[in-house]
Amino acid sequence: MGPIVGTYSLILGSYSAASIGTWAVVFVVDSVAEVQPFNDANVLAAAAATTGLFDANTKYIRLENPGDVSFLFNPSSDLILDGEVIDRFSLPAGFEARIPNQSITESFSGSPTRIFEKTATEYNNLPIGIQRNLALLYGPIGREITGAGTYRFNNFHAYNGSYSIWSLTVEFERLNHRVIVSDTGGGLSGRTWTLVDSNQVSTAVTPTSQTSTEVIFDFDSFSDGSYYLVGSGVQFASFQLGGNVTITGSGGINLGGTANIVYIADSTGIYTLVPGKLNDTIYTGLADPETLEVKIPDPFIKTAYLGES
Amino acid sequence: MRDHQPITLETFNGLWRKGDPEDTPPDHFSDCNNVSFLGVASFQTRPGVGLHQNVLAPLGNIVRMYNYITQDKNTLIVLTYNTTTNTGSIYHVIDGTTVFGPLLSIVGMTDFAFVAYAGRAYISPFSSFLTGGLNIEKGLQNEFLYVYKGDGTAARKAGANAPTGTIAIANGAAGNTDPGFKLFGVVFETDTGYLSPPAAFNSFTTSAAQSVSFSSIPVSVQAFVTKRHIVATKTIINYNGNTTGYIYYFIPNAILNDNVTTTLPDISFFDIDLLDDASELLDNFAEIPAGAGLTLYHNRLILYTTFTDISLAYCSLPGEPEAFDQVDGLIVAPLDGNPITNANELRDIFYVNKRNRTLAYSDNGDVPSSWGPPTVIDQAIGAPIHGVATFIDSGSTSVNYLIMASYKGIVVFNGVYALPELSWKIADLWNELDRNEFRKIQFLNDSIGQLLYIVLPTGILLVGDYNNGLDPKNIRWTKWEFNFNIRTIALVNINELIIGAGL
Repeated sequence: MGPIVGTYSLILGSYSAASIGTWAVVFVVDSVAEVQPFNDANVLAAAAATTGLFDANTKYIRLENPGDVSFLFNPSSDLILDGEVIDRFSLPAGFEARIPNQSITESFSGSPTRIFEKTATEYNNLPIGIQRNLALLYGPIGREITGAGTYRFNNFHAYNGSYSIWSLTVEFERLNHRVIVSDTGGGLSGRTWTLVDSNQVSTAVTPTSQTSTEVIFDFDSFSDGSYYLVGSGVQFASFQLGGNVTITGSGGINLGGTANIVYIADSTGIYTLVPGKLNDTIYTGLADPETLEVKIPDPFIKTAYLGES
Repeated sequence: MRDHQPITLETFNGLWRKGDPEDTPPDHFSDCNNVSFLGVASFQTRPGVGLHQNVLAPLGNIVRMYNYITQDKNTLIVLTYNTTTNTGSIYHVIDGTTVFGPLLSIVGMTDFAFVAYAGRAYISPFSSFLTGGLNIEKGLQNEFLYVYKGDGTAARKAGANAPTGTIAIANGAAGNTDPGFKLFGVVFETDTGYLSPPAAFNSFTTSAAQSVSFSSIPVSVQAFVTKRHIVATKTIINYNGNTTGYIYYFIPNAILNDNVTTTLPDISFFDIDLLDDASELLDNFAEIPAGAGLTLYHNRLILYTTFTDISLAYCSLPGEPEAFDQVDGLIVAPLDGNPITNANELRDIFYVNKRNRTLAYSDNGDVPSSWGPPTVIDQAIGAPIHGVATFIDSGSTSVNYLIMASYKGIVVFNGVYALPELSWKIADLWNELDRNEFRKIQFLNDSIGQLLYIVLPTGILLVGDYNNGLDPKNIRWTKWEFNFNIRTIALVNINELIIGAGL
């Protein structure tokens, strides 16, 4: 068995079906550096006086987009998904933050801000000036807000149905693939699971074991391609901070590589090939960790007549 | 098992992707990933990658990168692309901790051409345009050739505006001139040595035994103009009123070494002193249109495939990379609807590629417009925009041969194309590539390590090890994949491979 390739923490809401309609917006910001704490009491008091939505004594998290578009989140009450689900082929790089629409009160000064919604989610009462950009199924839909003015978002639909919470990239046949999903917040009970391949073909999969805090899958083999393991339910429909979700991967055979589950927000950048180096060091696009040591993905050879590496 | 005949594998000669996998020779791989070759017969896991930048905010979404050898360093010049704003930005990466830039940011710049010349970087922004269902690469509309001095200051348009206004001339103190009617003008010189077309003309009849004094000498609004020259015709007997119809010469010592002074008194010269011809500057571009490619030939900077002329290559004056004559400083490839995609010098011949055609021009010592018509070398094999291998950290494509990533495969060109192609063993892999995405192919040749590196449109690296021989049989192919998409590569410090990862 190969070692764990990567361990990442997400903060997810529980998957309660209650309060449908509260959650629907995903913001993407370009840089970790743009996420900052914000507790300027004077500003907040003024904002509270104007909007009635802010508390001068709360320490908020500010997402600041280029063009002075910023949003404030209350980490104790606003749901934030910290990080982006990797998809090397379709998803944009960046950070996601899922927030309740009631928190969006800041002005947009003209620079596009991207809003992402799950594909096939119904659109509802988007203000004038919001344009839609399509993305792949099971990836987010990008929308750009353009123009000046103050926008309030109301009446977004919830994320009904399945939503990809992580992707599993598999390059070639392997044995003994084990994927573990754990949620210390206990939000995994009752989920059913679907494996979606790169052609968007869905196959129901049954976990080896499943509790409210941990789901284990053992897959036999994969062909080339990218796969999405999708949990059922109304996602992010209710606000409640969950625990950490840890994604781990193990498996692989000698000479045949390992299950390659790496959670990276943005691995783009400039690299140097280092003779004799036994692993890859990659940028993550995250504040912590900024870089990641990963195994060289799936080194293998396949000969002509043995049929297996 | 009684009749089983064991097979001993003593050599591993790399990937074989041609025909039925069952036809793969025993000493080849029917598939492989992330292995490199060791010695003449073995393989191992490829080397790992490390971070090239150790800074708080490393550059992201790299789309193009060249090694940029300045006068004292081996550096990188890098294009990043912001998908939200559709803006490309160019940076100068000095080393792991020092980055200059953005030197230049342009909306719609998804790629750029680059040539280093005298320590300076010449940069031409371009992009792909869908034409008739095919992507073609050409210079951005209403954009220009830029020059960057390598010092961290912003890149600026190459060339300079011609002077405006009118120079004033009067007799100066006692001195020496041939008496008679003459025309005078002003030439700007920039900090990169570019000489503008003469302008600000005026006429004056000089008097014997008197020098000439100039005033109202135009000053450029462009701060990079650092010198101004006064030019003059020889004495004109019958002036026809056409100020640009005469030959202008630089007046010796009539130079202002600044961009401030507007007077220059008491200059003496005889007609016989006027030797340095400035008339060839008259047809120069003040702003050189952007092209999809830059290269050097006979010390000329060649810029090809502008937005409006996809079969045209502009050739600068020798040794003056910003001096492009609009009239006769150009060559035209046959107008077949396909753009010029690449151009390289090999053994004194200038080879021009289209996507599936190869042409040859030869410098006859006259102006470039007289070099044609070209010799057609091949009507079927060409090269994509980054598809000719550059060697180690020189950035040059030519040693004693060229290696090209053509539609047919990876071929060696030494005046003729050597067939079968180098990629013969992996023909199926090559043919599966999307030809409309061949612009994404970038090709390097580490002739020290004897490795070919080819960025494929799919974001992986195809590696050819030719330590056993640079021929279709002995080259050993392998694929390298990473946890990122490779978009561009460069070799620095002789043969250190730098990888640019993008979305």
